[in-house]
Amino acid sequence: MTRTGRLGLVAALGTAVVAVTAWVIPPRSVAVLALLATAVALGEALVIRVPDRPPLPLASAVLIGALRLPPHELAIVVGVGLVVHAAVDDGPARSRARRVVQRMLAMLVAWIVFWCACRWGRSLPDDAKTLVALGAGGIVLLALDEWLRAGVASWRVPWRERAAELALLTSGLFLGIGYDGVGADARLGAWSLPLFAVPLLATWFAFQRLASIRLTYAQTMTALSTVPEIAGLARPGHAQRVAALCDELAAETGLVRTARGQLVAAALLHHVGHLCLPDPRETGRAAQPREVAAKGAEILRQTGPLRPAGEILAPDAGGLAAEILRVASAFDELTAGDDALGPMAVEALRSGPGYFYDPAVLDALARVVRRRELRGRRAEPQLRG
Amino acid sequence: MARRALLTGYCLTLAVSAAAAAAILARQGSWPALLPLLILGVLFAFAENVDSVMSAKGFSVSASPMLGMAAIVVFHDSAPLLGPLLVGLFDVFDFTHLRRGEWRKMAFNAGNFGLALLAAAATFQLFAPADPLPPAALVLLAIPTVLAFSTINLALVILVTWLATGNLDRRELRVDLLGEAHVYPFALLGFFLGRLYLDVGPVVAPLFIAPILIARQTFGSYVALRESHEATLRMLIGALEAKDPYTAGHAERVARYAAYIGEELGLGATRLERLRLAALMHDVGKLVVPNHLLNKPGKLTPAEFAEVRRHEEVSVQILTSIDFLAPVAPSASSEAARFRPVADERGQPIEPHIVAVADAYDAMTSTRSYRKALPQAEAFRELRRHAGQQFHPGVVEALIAALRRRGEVHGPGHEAQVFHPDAPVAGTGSAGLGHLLPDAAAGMPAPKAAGR
Repeated sequence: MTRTGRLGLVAALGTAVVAVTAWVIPPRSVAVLALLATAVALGEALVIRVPDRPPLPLASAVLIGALRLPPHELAIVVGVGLVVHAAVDDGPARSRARRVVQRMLAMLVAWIVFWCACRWGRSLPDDAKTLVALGAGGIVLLALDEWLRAGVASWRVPWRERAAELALLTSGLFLGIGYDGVGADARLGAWSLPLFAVPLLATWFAFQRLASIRLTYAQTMTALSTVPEIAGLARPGHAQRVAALCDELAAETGLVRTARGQLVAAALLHHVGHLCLPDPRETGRAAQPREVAAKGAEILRQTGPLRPAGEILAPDAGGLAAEILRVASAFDELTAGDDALGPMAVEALRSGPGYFYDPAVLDALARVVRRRELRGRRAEPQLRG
Repeated sequence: MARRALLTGYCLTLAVSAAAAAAILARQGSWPALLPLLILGVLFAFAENVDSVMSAKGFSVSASPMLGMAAIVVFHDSAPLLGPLLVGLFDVFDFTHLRRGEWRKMAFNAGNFGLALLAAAATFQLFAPADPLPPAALVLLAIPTVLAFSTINLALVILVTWLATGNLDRRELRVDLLGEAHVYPFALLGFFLGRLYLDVGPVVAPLFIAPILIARQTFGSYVALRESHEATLRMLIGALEAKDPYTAGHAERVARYAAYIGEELGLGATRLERLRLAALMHDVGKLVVPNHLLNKPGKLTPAEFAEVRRHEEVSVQILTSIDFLAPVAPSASSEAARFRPVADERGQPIEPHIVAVADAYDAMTSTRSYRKALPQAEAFRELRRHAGQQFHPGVVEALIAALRRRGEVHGPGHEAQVFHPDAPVAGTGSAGLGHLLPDAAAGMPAPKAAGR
């Protein structure tokens, strides 16, 4: 179905839902519920992107705040908001539907936790009870949502990299408290929505900028990595393949995160030194790999923030990162991107005379190669079908 | 010197009169409750510190006026005038100014905020109905309150600008006035925050401020990464460029001139950043051209010329592969940068023209293997002579104006390093491209007077 068609369908469905709800519950809440559902739909489209993790939709904050609604109103807000967004969103229908189910499931569990916490905290003062219950529900929602999308691995993210989640949680608590107040008559109602949106949008904007500069940085490095290839000094795609392999090997060997970024930069730029060596057409002899690495290291060392990458690239560099780069580069020289040659190349690196590679890195390489092989085998039938 | 004393006196007077007003109000009326005063005051000072980090980069959430307005609502019943005034005085805790010892600014800011909030609070009292304050009434009440706040704030700021600089820039005045307009929505939010504080209690304040703090932290990392990215690129390009001593430092200078032109033409922050990066990378394709061709003293054969020409294609291709720079990728192509009076007036990005002019100017004012640097006046004349045909006239004038204003002189005797002291005096060449054999020139793009 086209986007316009989907929009029309959603509009028709929405009208029907509003008509039915208006009949069931008083009209004043219908307007407010429509507002909240819109906020959910918009919030699903605005996501905070954090590296190596599934994107975090801002709608989570609205959903946390909405936990305090009466169950049937909550069901309407969540259902309408998520379905409207899924209908308008791009991407395969199956994945959009799965996403809606995931979100609803997480929301259901979060609501149960919220409800239990409210029951359990009856003896607490009103505002403390509300905060604790909303907080528990919110944490469950965020954690479950991440688990459903990325598996347990994502839970190993350190706490201080959870700033985006904290912003979503506090904003959600703020909305929940602001919307209904705590006492019987203290409530700001829908007026609390703009108040709640400002810090949340500021957070979103800041993360948006951060993600865009990260992308630009990565793309700049990749673009520069292709220069030696265009000049005919390296095989096309060599630098990018080596960088990807270095990243996998770094994860496999447990290299610290900060060193990982520098390793990838060193891998991308490891042939750049060649550009600055005398032309073989003039000197009459080809540049030695050692000279290329030394020149590259010299250049990167002059480049303030990339100085550690220069240390990794230096011909006599020690340390895990340098070993990884050496292995990854030698591996790609042997396979030239053909995964079928992988196992043979690993054996060649293990037994090859004249060179000595770190056995731990070679073991990691063997595991990565085996994994790629399995992935390749699984992918093949799909390709044929 | 006299003006400096006047400025100091003015700042002090503001701070002292705000403090005196506080003292008088404290003697007459009741003292505000300590807890909300401390919470709002600390958040106010904190927001001001956050703001000074973010607004410098063209982004501001104006959290401090918002908290001031929240104070007006919170102290509505207990200390309607003194409460907001005292919260405004918390502005004195601006750590950026404190660290730099700019006590005059601290005094001015505290006095300014205190008095503006006092005026706003008085206006609010004048129009406010009896308790409770319904949200809809707050929407209306915010209008006169913000007017009072902005009038005092603007008047005091204009006066201090006049005292500090001696004249009033009309453009800056307009920016100030427009800046004041965005206080209203934030003031309204402040009113709501105050209402919520009264209803729910102090817990709303940290819940509201936490995401702002996270936003600030993230924005800080963004700014740091952006600067590190540009620095990395600048140094990397510089180091790679050093393979060709004649053009060392060229990219960085072109990026600087391009930024001058962009500022002169009033480009926004994002476009300026894009322009600087594109200018930095405009010659990146030259790295694939062998050195002996780049600096061949004699004429190039057609085959050599074709190989040299390839570098522009490569540069465009590289710029295109970076999403952020893709819109200005033609900056690396001399064909796209050529000025076409009809087509260029509408919708075409101006960045390629800026890079072309900056590039040509730097090529003319630095010594190359084939000729000595031209004096600046000569370079200006050359640029103007080709303005309207090869170069964008507005861009040429912008460069000249920007350099004159900064008092920068380039050309012979002003170069950082000259690698070719015995270069011929005459000869206009294309930067680093050498000359084409006359018979090969047929059917090829004509070599230009200056530039690439």
